[in-house]
Amino acid sequence: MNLFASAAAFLLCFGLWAPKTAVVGSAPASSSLPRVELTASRGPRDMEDLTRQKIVHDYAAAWQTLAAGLERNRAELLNDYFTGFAKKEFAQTIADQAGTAIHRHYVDHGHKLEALFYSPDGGVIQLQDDAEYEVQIFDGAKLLHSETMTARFLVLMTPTADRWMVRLLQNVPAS
Amino acid sequence: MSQAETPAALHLPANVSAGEAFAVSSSGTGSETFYLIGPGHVAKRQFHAGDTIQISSDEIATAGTYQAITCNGQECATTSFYVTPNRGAELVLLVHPSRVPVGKPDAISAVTVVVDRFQNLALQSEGVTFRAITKETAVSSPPQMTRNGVGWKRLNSGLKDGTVEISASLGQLSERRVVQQVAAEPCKLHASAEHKGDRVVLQTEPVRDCRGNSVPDGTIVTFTKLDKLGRSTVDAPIKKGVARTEMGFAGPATISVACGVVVGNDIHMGGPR
Repeated sequence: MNLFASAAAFLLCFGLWAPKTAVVGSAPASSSLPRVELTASRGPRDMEDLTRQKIVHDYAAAWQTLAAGLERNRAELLNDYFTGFAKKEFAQTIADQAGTAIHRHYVDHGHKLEALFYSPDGGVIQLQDDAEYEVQIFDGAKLLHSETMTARFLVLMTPTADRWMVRLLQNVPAS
Repeated sequence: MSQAETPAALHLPANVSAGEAFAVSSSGTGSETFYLIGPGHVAKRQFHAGDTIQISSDEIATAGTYQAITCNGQECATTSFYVTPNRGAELVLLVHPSRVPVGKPDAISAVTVVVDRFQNLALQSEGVTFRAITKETAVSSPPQMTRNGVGWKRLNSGLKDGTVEISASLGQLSERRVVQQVAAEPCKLHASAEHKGDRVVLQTEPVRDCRGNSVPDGTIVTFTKLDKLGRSTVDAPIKKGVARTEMGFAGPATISVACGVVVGNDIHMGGPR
């Protein structure tokens, strides 16, 4: 809990000190969710404000649950915001971690999203995420590796009745 | 960031493709622990420094950044490498809606996601052809180049009701979905009435759109009767092309018929027009 509190405090500070950008949607900085900004949308479908806010919120929540799942090795935490290829992949990772006593701790420093494609029917959105985070890899209590990363992800999200789910989350090289 | 002492140096290939097994040579001596930490797989095993470590196909099926970590007691060293996705080997096709009125431009949205055999997004741009095939016609799009693994096309609905097969093809790969094309709004709505005692039987002529397609069964036709008792309404679903219902008759009445945004004829019964 102390780690989470520290992370939240850091994120709040980060939010206050971050330079101003052309933010068109962002997750609330005061919540415990990672900071997410959606800065551009390329269409072809226009994105309504409420949709934008929902995507930003649900993507932040997805990262929060992914970090919790990889930290506690609990694959069921993925159920709320992951489906399809992404859920299968991360569930396998968590099972592997649990079998080897490995876990990862993420300190999330925020995500800058760009909507690369929003389908004409509103049924799928592809996002590019430039994420900053620190990851620590443990074997039991032993720290194996710690690194602060700037990483780019391609994301596919699809809507369900009440939320957007991450269907694919793939790390790609930053061009 | 790893701890200062490097237990065993790993010599990794510069480029690794997803699912392509490879060997890592190491230098040093003694028994150590090897960890492979990836986006879709985690492994841990003992090895002797100086030996070759085999990385199997399954261990690097997921594209992304991996950490290869060697630990000698409390000291660990990390080498990162990136696993690239392969060319497309599978298409995911999302078509919407499943039912569409005929004669509507850009009514059907087809989106395909190209993934490799390990379900990684295939990032190399490739040409996907979309087709719409009915019993009578087949229409193909020019190849649509994928961007970041996604290709899409809007398609017009056809002019006749029935099924249309929407497919996306990439080389020998093909994926298809079926969309039901249904009649558009009725073109002309005409009903007739037959007086039977204290009842009146109302029935439409076959309800069709302007291209002659039968409006689907289940579509609601609304009959509204206005007489001395006031207004009464009956909704009747179309069955076998026509809508039929009965209403009570209590003297002169005007009956109107409507379906969706289309209003049909008025019927005047039992009194002067």
